[in-house]
Amino acid sequence: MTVWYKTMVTPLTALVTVEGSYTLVELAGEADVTGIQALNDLLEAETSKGPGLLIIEMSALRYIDSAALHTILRAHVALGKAGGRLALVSPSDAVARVLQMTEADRVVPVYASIADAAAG
Amino acid sequence: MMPSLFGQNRGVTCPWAGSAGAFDQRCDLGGVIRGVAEPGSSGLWHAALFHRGAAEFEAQACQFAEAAASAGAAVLVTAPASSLDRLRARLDGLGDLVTWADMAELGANPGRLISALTRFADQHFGQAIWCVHQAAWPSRPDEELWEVLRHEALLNSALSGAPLRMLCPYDTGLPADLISCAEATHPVIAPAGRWQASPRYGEAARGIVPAACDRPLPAPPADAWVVSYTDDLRPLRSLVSLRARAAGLPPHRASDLVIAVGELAANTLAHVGGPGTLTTWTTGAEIVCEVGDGGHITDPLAGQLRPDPTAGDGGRGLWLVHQMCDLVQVRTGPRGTTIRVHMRLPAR
Repeated sequence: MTVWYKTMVTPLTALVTVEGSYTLVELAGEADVTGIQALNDLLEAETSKGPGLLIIEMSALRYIDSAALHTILRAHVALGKAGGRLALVSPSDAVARVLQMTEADRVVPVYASIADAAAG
Repeated sequence: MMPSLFGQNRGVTCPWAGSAGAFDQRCDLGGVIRGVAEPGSSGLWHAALFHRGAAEFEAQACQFAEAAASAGAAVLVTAPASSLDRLRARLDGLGDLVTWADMAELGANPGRLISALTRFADQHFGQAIWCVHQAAWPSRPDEELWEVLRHEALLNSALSGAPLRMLCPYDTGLPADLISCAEATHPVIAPAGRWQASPRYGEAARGIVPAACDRPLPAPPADAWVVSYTDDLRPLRSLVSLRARAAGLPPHRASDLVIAVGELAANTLAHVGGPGTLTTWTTGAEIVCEVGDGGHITDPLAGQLRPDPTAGDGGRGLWLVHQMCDLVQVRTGPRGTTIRVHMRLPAR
């Protein structure tokens, strides 16, 4: 058997920008079960500030698993209860596939651009 | 000419004998299928039709579909393309009453069939559903046939309350152990031109999968690639992506395989705490990935029912695996779990 080993590290990174009418979270890299605590902490922190609109920009997110998706869906519920809303923007093909197959894209609106998401 | 199972002049008892909705009240079908003879009764009627060759199956399927249509039921025919074409030609007159589904697409992975049937029933809420369900045929690979039988066993409990009548043809040219398993997973059979309770049907009523469907998987080949994981899943996903592309899997399918294997490995970390092992290899026809860990999946329907899209908790991982892959084989018990997923390679 061929034993595979590789240790290249490409972590999930998030860049948070607070604009006038919304908070923008730009995710890059890969979001999986190993990073959900950090992702959850980030989304809870931003949600607790009560933004009217939280935008997650996903074009540089190459991969998402269902555990990371659950974290985003929980943020969607929390925002909704606080009178805000969550929007997803520009998912890559692989991420869009997961959103579609779980029908998460019917629960959380997905937009082609940040401007579209901001316009609602 | 083969005698009809459904004709009226042979004392035949079946739900679609005679004119529309005129069910034969003289039926004495035993406890298992008692509801069948009562018009408007709810619940599952799940029958295996053992037939010799395609012509016999098609004749019975046509009578079934015509009776269903005249009774006002929604009709679903799920079959391989060759059967679909011939049945379509014969049932042309029923037009839009029949929904056709190519088993090669809908049920390439039999683990997707229960959710597909549920979705069809939801789309026809309030209507009876009659389904010709051809999932097994002699040229289908053995490993797929045994997953079809697992599906047949599981739907007895998963769809027990659905107003669903299913006619499942099994060619008598199929291996004898498979035919025997079909008798054990279908509450109704017609061994002598008459529908009756299957004497072998028992545990499958409670959704227990026959042992024949759970035989250990053959060992991976010696030249398979292996990676262990305990915390970081990126090396595993990289390996799957590279091997899939090297095997000639198209990019979108390679991406699907990465998603599926990523979910399996994530389950190890979330539910078992690790470690796990991925083994991957290619045959001439497919790329196979196997994930093994020390966990035990106790719900035999895990991943086969469409998850609530609004739920913020788990339940989507194995669903995604079943949606992405052409075949999923789960072997699980107190000593650990092995899940093998298959993706067919394009013909060269």
